[in-house]
Amino acid sequence: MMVLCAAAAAQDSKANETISIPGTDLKFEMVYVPGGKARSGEPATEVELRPFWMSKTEVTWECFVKYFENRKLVKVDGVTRPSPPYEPPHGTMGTGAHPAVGMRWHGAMGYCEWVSTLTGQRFRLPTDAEWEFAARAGSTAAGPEKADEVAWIKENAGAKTHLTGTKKPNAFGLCDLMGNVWEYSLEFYSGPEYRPVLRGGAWSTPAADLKFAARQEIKPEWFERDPNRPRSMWWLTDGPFIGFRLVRFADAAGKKDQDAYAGKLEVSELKAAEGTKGNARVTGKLKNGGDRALDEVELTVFYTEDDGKPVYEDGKARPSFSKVWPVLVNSDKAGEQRAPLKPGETRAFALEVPQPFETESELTKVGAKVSALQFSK
Amino acid sequence: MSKDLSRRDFLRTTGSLAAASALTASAIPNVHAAGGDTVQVALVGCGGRGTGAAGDALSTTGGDVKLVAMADVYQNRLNSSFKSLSGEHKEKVKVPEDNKFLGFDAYKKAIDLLGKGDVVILTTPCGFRPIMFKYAIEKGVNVFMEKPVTVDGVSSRKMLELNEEAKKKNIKVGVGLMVRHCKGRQALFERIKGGEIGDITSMRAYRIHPPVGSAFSEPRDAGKEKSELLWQIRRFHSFIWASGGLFSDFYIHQIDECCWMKDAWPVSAEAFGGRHYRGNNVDQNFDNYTVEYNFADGTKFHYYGRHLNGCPSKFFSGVHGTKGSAIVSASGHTPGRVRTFKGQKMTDDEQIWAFPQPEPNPYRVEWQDLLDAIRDNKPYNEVERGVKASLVTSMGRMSAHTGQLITYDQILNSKHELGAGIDEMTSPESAAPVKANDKGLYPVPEPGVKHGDEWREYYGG
Repeated sequence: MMVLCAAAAAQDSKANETISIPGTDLKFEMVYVPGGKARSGEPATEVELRPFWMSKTEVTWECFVKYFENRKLVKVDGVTRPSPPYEPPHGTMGTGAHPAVGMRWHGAMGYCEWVSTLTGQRFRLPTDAEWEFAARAGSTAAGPEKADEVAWIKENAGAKTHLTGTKKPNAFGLCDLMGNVWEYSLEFYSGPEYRPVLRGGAWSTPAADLKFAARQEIKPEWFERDPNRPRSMWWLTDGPFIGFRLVRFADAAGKKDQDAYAGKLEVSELKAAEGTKGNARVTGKLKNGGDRALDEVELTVFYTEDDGKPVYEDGKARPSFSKVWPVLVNSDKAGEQRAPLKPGETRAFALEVPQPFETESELTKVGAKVSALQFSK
Repeated sequence: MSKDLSRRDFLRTTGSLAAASALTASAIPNVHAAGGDTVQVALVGCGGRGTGAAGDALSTTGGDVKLVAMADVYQNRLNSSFKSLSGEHKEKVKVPEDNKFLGFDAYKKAIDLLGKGDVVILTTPCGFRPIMFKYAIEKGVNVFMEKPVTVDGVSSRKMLELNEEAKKKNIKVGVGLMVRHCKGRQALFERIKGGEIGDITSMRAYRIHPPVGSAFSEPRDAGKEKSELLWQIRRFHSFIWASGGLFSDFYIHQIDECCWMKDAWPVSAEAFGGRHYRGNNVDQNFDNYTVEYNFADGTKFHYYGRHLNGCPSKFFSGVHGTKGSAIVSASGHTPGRVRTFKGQKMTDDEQIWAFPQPEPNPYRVEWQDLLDAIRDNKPYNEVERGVKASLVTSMGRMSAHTGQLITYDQILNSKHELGAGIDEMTSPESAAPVKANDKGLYPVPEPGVKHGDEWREYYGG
């Protein structure tokens, strides 16, 4: 495995790209990750991954704060933002180039949308398989050989985050996948419920627990202190060890073509039923009505007013939408989403959409739109 | 009454529980009488915090707790609160449709369903606290009330007077200053009392974050929000009569925790503030406040609040003594992460002590303490402390809004009432306490231009 990957990396490598965030003086670096056979999870699943780009470091506080706080400076229409937090979500952790912390999955995902809209490129969270492939960078061991050299962990971090990119990069040139902060992956644990997966360990993780395959669920004690109900969908009260990084598909060009093609996808049989914890369980079908095969389709599913107008957040900025990927070739989840969607093909999907609270009237209807897609090569 | 309430009586922050204990020797026992040990709870004010408080009540241990009634002025908020609580505590939420009450007298109907030993949660905007507390006392039910509990001198005097009756009836009253129930701060208080950092000579607290909650309001959309009054209630942080403004609602905890550590209340306040950017907003708040609180021994407590987008956030409370210093809030209400230091820099190498992490959640502890007191029939009344904390908070706001130095006695004995007319509100069509001018703007503080007290001259009525 290690030999194969090293060979692949040697043949298929590209210089890092620097992305500027328009309207700010902030930049971040993307690293090319060649595709290949990936083993991920426990028990391990083997999948063939397409190449992708991954941010060299975790998203920094200085970038994330521009997204959630300063709505007027970098204004982007149609992108939901977290409600401003009552207390600084970084707590006693560092700001600046320290990793952004304390957000829930919707905040991480919203940042991806925001930075995509600003840059005209498609960024998203890494799939579970992409994340582990990138973290291993060819290693078949359980965890990094010299944890202290590559990761901020319990033994060396002094119970706090550290500036991103200050530990040794891995074989792909990526930093801090292990340690510093846990990182969200794109997909939830199997099943449509809102159960995000965290990878990589944090400053609080002991070296002995620092495993490439380790997954972590959101623990109740990380949001239990939230004095309000419903609790925030944007912030964890006790999550100063949770962050995320970005992935961009290898051929990011052609966003205009992609957006135009979205009109050829049809969503049908959209139904909402009662899900878990007051959420709506939404099912439907997606048809590829065009003439090109697709490697990836992201659907945003939301509540609507009676007239069909989308409601992405309720009166208190609580998200009333979620996302699902009926087509996701870089996934390691069992199911048909790993196969490209051929022209004319129809595929079913299911997800849960969070319950809105502060609304003028009770919302019962749902809608869906294609929010991102990727053509097959 | 006001003559009795000189600042001498208010000097110490920790006397109120002892006073309550002394009274109870002759008080009528208020044991739970409904049979069994089920404590029934009614929720009045079904917003996010009210729903959260009910959830915390239902999470206590030591006996059965059931939510039996709910009241609000918004149908939709009542529904979503019920849904949220039912999702989390299915077995403990027993609120049939008939026990969900809507409207300005809904609180009475909800309280009427309770018996002795039961608890009503008062989590409406705090302007409504006195009329609801009065009714709860009449009916003899225990109370949990969210902070702040008063917005001015008149409501403070009213609450203290009502509380005399509550104490006579041995009604247990919890006030949502949950930091007082934080194990870390309690341990810190003892250490300060024990002389670990010497005598406190100065204190400082910061609450700096973007505008949150309903503090900044754009004009009401009359098509969507038909009632001016309901809108002002929904946007309560925007209106001084309803909440004391963002100042009272956001700053009270840190003001209270610092006064607690000093074990004294300030005798006067000299404050500053203004609004950098008003944009389309029509509310009554400033976007920044600085207060110098003065204590009888000359100690100063500086409070800094700022709510601008794009500026870094900061949340911190710290105290400095003759032999060292202490962190009271490291970055938020909870966890407090209190620490003591032998120097003034508050650096790791100067650390004497830190409360071990993780710390218990004080939002849970405050409910456990209240329900334990109810079950054991122990004296429990946090009203005086809550009123004093609310009053000194209003003292800072009043000083910033008027541009005058305000003394404790001045605000306590002030005759102007922000909440005049609250007891006459009967429907969404009732008059709202403040009116917008022809440009849609509500009265705002104008230090140096408007004179006299903060109240009528500033906020109309």
